[in-house]
Amino acid sequence: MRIADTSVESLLQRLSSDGLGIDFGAARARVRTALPAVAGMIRTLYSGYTTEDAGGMFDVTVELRRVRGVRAFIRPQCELLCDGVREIEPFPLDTPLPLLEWGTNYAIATRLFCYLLLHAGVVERGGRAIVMPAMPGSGKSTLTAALTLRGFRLLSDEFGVVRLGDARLLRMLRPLALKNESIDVIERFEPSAVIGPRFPKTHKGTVAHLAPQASHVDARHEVAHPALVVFPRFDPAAGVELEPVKRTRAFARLAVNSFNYHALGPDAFDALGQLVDESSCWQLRYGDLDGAIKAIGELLDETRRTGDAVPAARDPQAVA
Amino acid sequence: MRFAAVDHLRVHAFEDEAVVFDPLSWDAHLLNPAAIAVLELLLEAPRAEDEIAAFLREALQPEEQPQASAHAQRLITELQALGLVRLSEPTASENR
Repeated sequence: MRIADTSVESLLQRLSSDGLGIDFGAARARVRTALPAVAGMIRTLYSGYTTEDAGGMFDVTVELRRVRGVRAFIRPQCELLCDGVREIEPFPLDTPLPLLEWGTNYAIATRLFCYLLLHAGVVERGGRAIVMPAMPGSGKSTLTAALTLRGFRLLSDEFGVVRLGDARLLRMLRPLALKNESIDVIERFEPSAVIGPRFPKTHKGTVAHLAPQASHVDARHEVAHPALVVFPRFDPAAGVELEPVKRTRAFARLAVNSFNYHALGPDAFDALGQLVDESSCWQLRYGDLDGAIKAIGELLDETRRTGDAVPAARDPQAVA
Repeated sequence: MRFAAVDHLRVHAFEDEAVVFDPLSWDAHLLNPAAIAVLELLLEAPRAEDEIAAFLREALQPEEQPQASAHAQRLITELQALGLVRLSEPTASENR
């Protein structure tokens, strides 16, 4: 059953008892909370996901709860426990969803050492992936969101999940965090996009989340072949400017943008080398979203190695 | 005095450049064409500095060939500083 087909009341019942299992593709989390408002937000943003049994194995269990003691009365806060431990600082009680989303990302990044995790947005078309590593403020999430609203399927906005051994890209399908101006940009770009509530007082400014489409959620166990590495940079003065990037430089920038490259050592080196080898690497400066999407689509077509798209393969390691 | 590449290096070549993984520090280094050429030579077998210079001389443009020895010395020093090249143990015949 999809979460969209569950009532807020029954979702809250599940969240506040055993928890709600959510399968992101490369990782699974069990979410618990008794905060009623959060149940409605989860129902909006995770509407395309199926309700998973809260039993069995999960990569992390996160519990969002109100801070007790004096903080229950003075500037009330919420906290996130990751596997029973508070690993990050509490947030104000009126920003529970940003804490849940960022905290779950943090928990995944600090636990999932069976894959190379790049800090990158990743989308695919025809099973061929575009990896977009970038520093904060570069427009990565805006571009990733826009691509997914124009026919590209989302793998992840935050994690480029690279399988060790064959450098195939797995999905870590999570709501996309849009910040500040990019919320309005995406709302104007695609009025039918499902965007959750705005949280104006976070440490990154105003944040709202874009819900992944149900068809993308359904594909969360498909793997993609690396095809393009694009380093995006939003520049309102630019139209669309593409420059090739040498593969050695792309390798270095991807390694720097990784969450766990140094922890994985030789396995990460080999996987990243293969990913870069199989990719065409570009720097993209863009001020025009439609133009950027068109340019990326054309690059993807140009770099196709054969006449046929690489078919999306079922990930044999995935937990169905 | 002979030089050798350290053991268990991993090299991933991209066009004319390469990245090299250092098995001790787990650092990756970007090497330019001259450096990767010398490193690959030393991965084949230990070499003396004059052998490396002779190898470079063949690869250099005629106007640069007189500087081959200086290039070799500089590259060996840099590769040693990165921990990718070490002094090779002398062979039994060299010890005699």
